[in-house]
Formats: sequence, structure tokens, C-alpha cells
Amino acid sequence: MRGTLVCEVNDNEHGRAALEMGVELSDRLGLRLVLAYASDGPAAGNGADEGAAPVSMNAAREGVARLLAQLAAEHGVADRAERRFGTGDAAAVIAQIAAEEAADLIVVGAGTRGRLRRGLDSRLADQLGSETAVPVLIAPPRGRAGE
Amino acid sequence: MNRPLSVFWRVFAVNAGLLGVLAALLLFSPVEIDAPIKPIQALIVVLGLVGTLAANAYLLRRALAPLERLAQRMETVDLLRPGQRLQVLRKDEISRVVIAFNRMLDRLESERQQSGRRILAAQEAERIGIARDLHDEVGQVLTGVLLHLDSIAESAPAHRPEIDDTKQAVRRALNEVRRISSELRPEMLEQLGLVSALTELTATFSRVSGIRVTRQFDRALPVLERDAELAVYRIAQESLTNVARHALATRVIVVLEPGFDSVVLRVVDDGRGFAGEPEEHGGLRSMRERALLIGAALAIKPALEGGGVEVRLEVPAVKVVRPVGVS
Repeated sequence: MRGTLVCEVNDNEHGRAALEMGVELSDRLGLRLVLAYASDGPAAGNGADEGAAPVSMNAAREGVARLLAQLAAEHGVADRAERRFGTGDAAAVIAQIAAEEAADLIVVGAGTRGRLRRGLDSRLADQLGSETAVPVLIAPPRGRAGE
Repeated sequence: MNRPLSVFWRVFAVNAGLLGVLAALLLFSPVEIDAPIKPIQALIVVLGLVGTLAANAYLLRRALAPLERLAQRMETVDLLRPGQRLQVLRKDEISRVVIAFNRMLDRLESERQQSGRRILAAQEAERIGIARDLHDEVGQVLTGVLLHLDSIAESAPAHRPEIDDTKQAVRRALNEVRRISSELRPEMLEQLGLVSALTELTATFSRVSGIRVTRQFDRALPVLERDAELAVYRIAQESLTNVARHALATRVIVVLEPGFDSVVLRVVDDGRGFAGEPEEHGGLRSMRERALLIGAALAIKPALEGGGVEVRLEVPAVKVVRPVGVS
């Protein structure tokens, strides 16, 4: 009886902070962990650009697959973290993956907001609010988690 | 009263602001324009123009960004992947269009679900009819042929070898008819439940395709609706068909396990996987349609190990309502 956690990751500080929190939560709560990566570009599956640049698309996919494998290995979850990625609007891609994986929780990274840097700023989390009914957890940047 | 600006007034305000800044610079800056114009003066004018255009583009882009998102969503929306809605950020004309678009998606998804349900019900009824005809009509005819061949063999012993060959061929045809009939109408599902039906399905698949199947079926599964059980069976069947047709796999793992108030089916092969995104052919679309109708989550993705494909279906279980005891 275990749920599923979808963690939005990328190769920047915020993405890594989200991954750290996602791994910790999945360990503590016994949740299945799915790493999700959304890249810009034409959305896959609409058929509009089918075959337009298959070589570069495949190369990009391979690059993302390598990145996800590397991030999973860095956090010691290479053997259990499932990896998904898609192209298009980030919120739509993450919401789609969450729906397909029957996610119970989505974790995303965030920047800080305001002059005192007390608030968390995540446009993606705001957009996910209307894209999915799955609760979204915003991971604070590294160094803020213990505050 | 805090009434939001309309798109027209927002665009007008952006342009008016920029032109105002430009006019103020011309009025109060010490720059003079001679005739004929000097190179440094021309450079200042060009830089001013470029700066104004850049600011204009930035501000207009911000003002019209929701329209861009709306257009993008209109191009990519897929009714087989429901729930994709756009965020309403402001209260202006664009937001009204976004709200109308979201409502239209609500209606379309609901209609699609109803028509999908009708189509699948008709499809199942047709399959049952064909299965019955195959079993009762073609099966009976082939059994009759076998009996007839027996009587011919008795009256013409010289032709027994040829008749035996023919009887073998008829028996093979009879077995095929029974197999197809049982695939069309999974009687085992109705009589013995999902686990037994999937056990039989995977055993037949392994025998026919030669692909090794490992079953990991949990016996203590939450209860599913009848429609949901049929959908799980059909999706497993379609996944195995895809493995046999496209995957070049040597092994398939079929898992049926409890999830979080749900039942999870996983079909994982060790084949060649996807070259890029999986193509949404008829089989995959039909799987999505079935999953959608029972409110299940379906993911078709690269397998975690082995480079093959994993089909993962998570079906919500029947909510068990416990009677409330009053003492």
C-alpha cells in the first residue's frame, strides 16, 4: 500500500533542492519516486512536428535521460527512481506525468521572493495549481530547509 | 473600485508610456539634432528607437502571454488525457476566453467519456457475439468434420495416413477457434476472477509467442468493479499483444499488486523500447480510452531496467463502506 511522489527535477540549484526533498520524503513515507523533467520545445504527441528533426529530438532525449540517470545516481536512488520526461509547457508536462503515474504528491523547486527573501517563489507551482488536483509541495532552496 | 484594465487599454498604456518617455527625453535632454544630422546624433536616435522597440516588445509580450499559453494548449490538448486546464490569472477579456475554453474542455471530456463508454460496451457485446458464433457454429462444424473424417477412415483404410493428417489440421483449427473465442470473451474472468484470468492469459501468451512470462500476482488485492476488472484484463491483453508484435522481447514480467487504495497492473518487457516517444497507434489509444473510462491512471514509459517498455495501470478500488454500529 504505497503512494507515488512525482519530483520535478532539473540541473539547477532549485531542481536539485527539489530532488533532495523528494528523495527524503519518499524514504520517510515509503512512496514510489518518479523523477520528472520538462524541457522547452514543441509538445510531443500533437503530431504537428512529427519527423521534423528526429535526430536532434532523439539526441535531446538521450541527454535528458543521461541527466536524470546522473541525478538519480548522485542521490542514491538510481535503482528505484523511475524517470519520465516530456517536452512542452512545464506545468502541463509535470501535471500530465503526475496524472499518468497516479501521483499523490508533486515536489517542485523554488527561488526566494521579496527583499527579505522570506517567501518562496515558484511560478511552476502556481501554474500547477490549475493544471492538477494533486497537492504541490515547494522545496525551499538549499540552506533554507532547516530555517 | 479595483477594475482590471482591458487588453486594449493595457496595450494602449504600454505604448503611451513608452512614447511619453521618448517625448520627455526629446524635450528635456540636451541632445540636439542638426540638419544634416551628425553621426553621433544618428547613433543616439537609433539607440533610442532600438531601446523603445525592445521595451515595447517586452511589455507587450508580458501583456499577451496568457494568449500564447492558450494557443499552445489549444494545439496540444488531448481529450484522452483529461484535466488539462489553464490558470486564470486576471479578470480581463483573455481570462474570459480562458474560462470559456476550460468550460468547453469540461463539456468535451464529459461527452467523450459518455460516447467512449457506449462504444466500448458495443465493442464488448460484439466480441461476445462473435465468440459465441465461433464457438457454437464454427466449432460445431469442425467437430462434425472430425467425426465425418473418422467414418471415412473406417470405410477407406487405404487413405488413413492422409485422413489422419487432415484430422490433425482440423484439430489445430479447432484449437485456434477455441483460443480466439476465449480471447474475445474471457469467461475465466467472469467465473474465477481477475487473477485466474490473467494467469490463463499469460500462460496462453507464453505458449503462442514463445516469450517467457514471469507472473507476480498478489492474491490479497482490493476489490474492483466488474468494468474495471475487464479493463485491466483488456489492457494486459493489449500490452502483451504489443510486446509480441513490436518489442523483440525475450521476457515479460506481469505484476498485479495492491496500490494506495488501488490495484496496480504492470507489464514490463526486456525488448528494444521506444525510439523516442511511443506512437499512439490504435492499440495504445484504446488502452487510454479504457483507462479513462474507469478513472484509472495509465503510464506507458521506458522500463527502469533492461531498456524495454513498462505499461503501468493503477485502478482505484471499490470504496468499502463499513456499517456504523449504534449501541
